[in-house]
This record gives sequence, structure tokens and C-alpha cells, in this order.
Amino acid sequence: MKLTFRGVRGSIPAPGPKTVRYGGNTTCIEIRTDDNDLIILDAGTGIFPLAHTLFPELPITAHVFITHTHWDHIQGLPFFIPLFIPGNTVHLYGARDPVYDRDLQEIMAQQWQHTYYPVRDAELKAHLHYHTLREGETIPVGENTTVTNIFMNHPVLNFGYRIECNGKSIFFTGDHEHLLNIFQPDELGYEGFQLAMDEKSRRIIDFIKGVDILIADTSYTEDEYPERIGWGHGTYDKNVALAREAGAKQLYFTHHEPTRSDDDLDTLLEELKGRYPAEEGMPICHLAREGELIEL
Amino acid sequence: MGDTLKQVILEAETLPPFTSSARKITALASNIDCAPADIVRVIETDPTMTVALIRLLNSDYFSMETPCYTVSEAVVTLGITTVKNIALKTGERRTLPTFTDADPGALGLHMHCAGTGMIARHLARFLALPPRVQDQALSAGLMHDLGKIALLNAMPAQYSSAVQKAKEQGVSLDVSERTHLDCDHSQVGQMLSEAWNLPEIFTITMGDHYESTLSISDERTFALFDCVTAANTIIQRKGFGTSGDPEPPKLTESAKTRFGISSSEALEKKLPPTLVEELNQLQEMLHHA
Ligand SMILES: [Zn+2]
Ligand SMILES: [Zn+2]
Repeated sequence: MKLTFRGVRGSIPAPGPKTVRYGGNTTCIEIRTDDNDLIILDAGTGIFPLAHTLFPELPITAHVFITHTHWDHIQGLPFFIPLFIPGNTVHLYGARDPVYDRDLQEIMAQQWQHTYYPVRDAELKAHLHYHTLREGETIPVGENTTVTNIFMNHPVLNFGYRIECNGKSIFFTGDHEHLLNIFQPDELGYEGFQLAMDEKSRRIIDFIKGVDILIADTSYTEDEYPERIGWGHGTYDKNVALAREAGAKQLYFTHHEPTRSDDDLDTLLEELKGRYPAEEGMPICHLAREGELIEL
Repeated sequence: MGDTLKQVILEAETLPPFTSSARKITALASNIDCAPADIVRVIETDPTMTVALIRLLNSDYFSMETPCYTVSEAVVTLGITTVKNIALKTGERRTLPTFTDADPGALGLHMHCAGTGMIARHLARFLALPPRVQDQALSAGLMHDLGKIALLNAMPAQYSSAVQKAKEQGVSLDVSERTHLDCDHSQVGQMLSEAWNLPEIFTITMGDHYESTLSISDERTFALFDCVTAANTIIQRKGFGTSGDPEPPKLTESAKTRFGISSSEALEKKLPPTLVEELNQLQEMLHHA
């Protein structure tokens, strides 16, 4: 399996001289299976540069798995050029909206609405198929690859995806904040919440168990986090803990804060390596970098 | 199924919350910094908001490994923002009409539901049931009169009049309901719980909160059932809220045995001394929304 980061920024694109090394596009990850099937995790603005690399292999079939439909994870979709070219097939997967009771197609229909975009999805030349996923549903891609999901913790339903291909595995959290008890220890309801929460955390860890690569939303430092509780994003230290508990071999921090410069990111990684020296059970930590290709 | 019953079940698809919880949740949600626990505390006083979440998580789409019983469990799965928005959405519908002439805005019925939930949880705690089961007692107590809410929603004038007539004629509410409406709130509650795929405990407590005629599959469910029936008795004996029944129901034999007491006075003594204060706070909260 091969993986290429096409967008590593969180929340909003961050172009400019201070982000040239790690990149300014929002979330998009390209995965190639051993059979060269194309899986794309999220359709942030990074899907636009990805689209340009696909021309030599048209027509294509792309399996696009959306973790959740916040802007930074879908904003590039209307600019995914293969959608406008006959002969291509795009499968789009994602969760339901339980608040307004809409399936994926109904959710995405807003994006193709004429006040936001000049083209309706009915006008697209490629075959576009919507698949509303349930938790735990396993989608086969080609002969040897599967994509399974689990609900994570974010202000909107968010799937973490696990991709398995010939014994190698990748897990991407999408946007995820570790769970937190909303009650104080002396309040009624604290214990019940804690137990439900522990059960959920355990399920997430079991789901990630033993992955070769864990890609995790790492928006904040521990110092920044107290001001951002409940915003739905992870921290460096919490993700190291998650990776250790799950026994992940490599950990890629992504969803970099848009205000974070390349130098800031390098400093944060250096400090982290100081806090967590290499030892048994400690994953190898990296900063996700736009354009970086990783072979498993 | 009778036509009335069919209509009531159909209209329950858009069951509105009580006025004061709808107001309270809207007020809380207009502040971006509001505490998640405050949102949950409001939802946990409203049967419609609570059942909307529990129903969703027991629906086909979620098909959880273990059924969902509580608002906390819904928060763990959906996140507080989604939970808040689902609660807000129930409040976008109209709110519940007047229950009886003496209960404008159904505030009394609201107090009855929320108070029953509170006491049921205390009783479960007294029985030393596990913490998550104590929270289930809160949900079951809170939702036990969902049938009344559904009737009030579907046929406000007739239902209000059936409640009035029970009082005037000195008959129990379910007798009056059956005489004037062709169905009673327990029937409605049971049907709703079954139609919405709620866990068994809710079918039993919403379907029969006086003396169980349903077969109860396990001991824990039976204990929860006893907590809810006893809470329903205690809350009415305390005169807290309006149940619509002219007389408080008697303590069931199985509750007497389970709690090891012979009267509801004796059972009230087993509740924490802070209960009066908690009920005052609850009343305060519902009144000043
Ligand atoms: Zn994001
Ligand atoms: Zn997001």
C-alpha cells in the first residue's frame, strides 16, 4: 500500500511563505492499494492537486471516504476534475446526518446548490455514486483491500477509517477529540458517563489495534487545549497516548493549525521527541507533509 | 388498532417538548460557551427530548452493540453538539398545550415526569444498582408518561377534558381515558416504545406503571420497574406536579417486597434528606425558563 498526503491543514487553507514546506491545503489523503486501486480519504482542498496527477491514468475509479462534512473536509470535491470527464466513476462514502435525518446524497446536495456552485451534480459527466455508511460497515475495494469505520468524537458524526491491504493497515481519525466527562466527580451522572465513555474509548483503541500507520488530527498542544475543549480536535500528547495504547507503529500528526508555521511545527516535533524518547512501544512520530509519499 | 390509537401514534412522530425545556435549551444554546452538563440536565427533564435521542440510537442506522438507555450514552456516541441540535430541533416544533385547566402549559405534567425520573434514580441508588442502571432509572421514570404526552399532543381538547372528567367523576385517569378516548395512555406508551424499538424497560414502564401484567424477562428490569412505579407513587403523594390521576397509585406489592417496607411513607424515609431541596431546585428550574 502507498499513501500520499495531499492536504494536511485543519479548518481553512493556509497558503503563504510560512507554510510552503508542510503545505497549506486542507485534509486529503491518497491511498493506493497493492492493486493500484484509488482510495481517497476526505476531499479538502488537497484533492485539487491530487486530481491533476490523475490525468495520465483516466478513466479512473475513485473511492472517496468522507470522515465528516465540515467544510475543510469536503471543500475540494466540486473541483475534483475527474467528476467532469466522461468514463470516470467516483464512489462517495460517508455518514448520515442524524439531526436533519439526511443521507449522504441529501447532505452533499447543498454543496451543488446554485447559490454555492455553478454546476449541479446531475450535470457531472462522471458516474457519481453516494453510499451512506453505517458504523462498522466494511467496504471491499478491489480484491485485497477493505475499508471499515468507527464513530469518533467530533461536533458532527465523524468516521475514523481503517484500511487493510495484504496484512498492512492504516487508520485515519478524521477530526477527533479524546472523550471527556462532562460532569464533575461529585455530580450525579458522573459515574454513568465515565463508564459509557470508557467503553467507547476502549472500542476505539481495539479498532485501531496494531495498525502500521495511525494518522491523527493533532490540532493543539496541551497548553492550547484548555481554551479549546469541546472543539473536537486532538493534541500531540493525547495522540501519542492513543498510538501507544493501540500499539500503532508509526504516528502521523495532521490537521495542522492554519496559524502554525513550518518552523513552529518543527519545534513542536522536536519538543515532543524530547518528552518521549524512543523506547519499546513508542511509535515513530512524524508531521504529515503535503506531497509526501509513504510506502508500507 | 383503533383509529384513535393509530392517529396518536402517527402524530407522535413530531412530538413536541414541554414549553419550559424548549425555552431553556434555546437560551442555553444561544451561548457558544454553555456547559455540556447544563444542556444534558435540561434534556434529562424532558421526556420528548430524551426519547428522541434514545430512539435515534436504538434505530436501524445506529444498531449499537448494546442498546442505548440514557442521554449520557447518547452524548458519548453523538457528541454534545449533535445532541444539543437534536434537542433544539424537537423544540422547533410547537410545544405542548395545556394539560388541564389547572395546568396551563402542562408545567404540572412536566414536573410530574421530571420528578418521577429524579426519585426513580434515587431508588435505584438505594437498591445499589450499578451506576449506569441508576441512570436508566432516571430515563425510565422521566419517560413513563410518554403516552399522556402523545395523547395530549394528538388531541389536546379531548385529552384535557378526559383528565378533567376523571377528577369530576372521581375515577382513575385510565378509566376516564378509555371511556372518553377509546384507549389509555399505557396502551399508547407501550405501542410507542415497541414502534420505536426502545429497550424492554421502557416498554414496560411506559406500558404499565401500576401493576405489571407484562412478563418481565430479567431481575434487573424488574428492579427498575419497581423503582419507577414507586417513584410515581411518591411524587404524587408529595403533591409535586400534576399526573392527571385524582388519587396517587398505591405502592405495588412487588415494590413493598423489594424495598422491604410496608408503606410509601416508610419508603420516602429511605430517600436522601437532600430530596426536598432537589425537588425545589427542579421546580425552580422548570418555572424560570
Ligand atoms: Zn477539520
Ligand atoms: Zn471537523
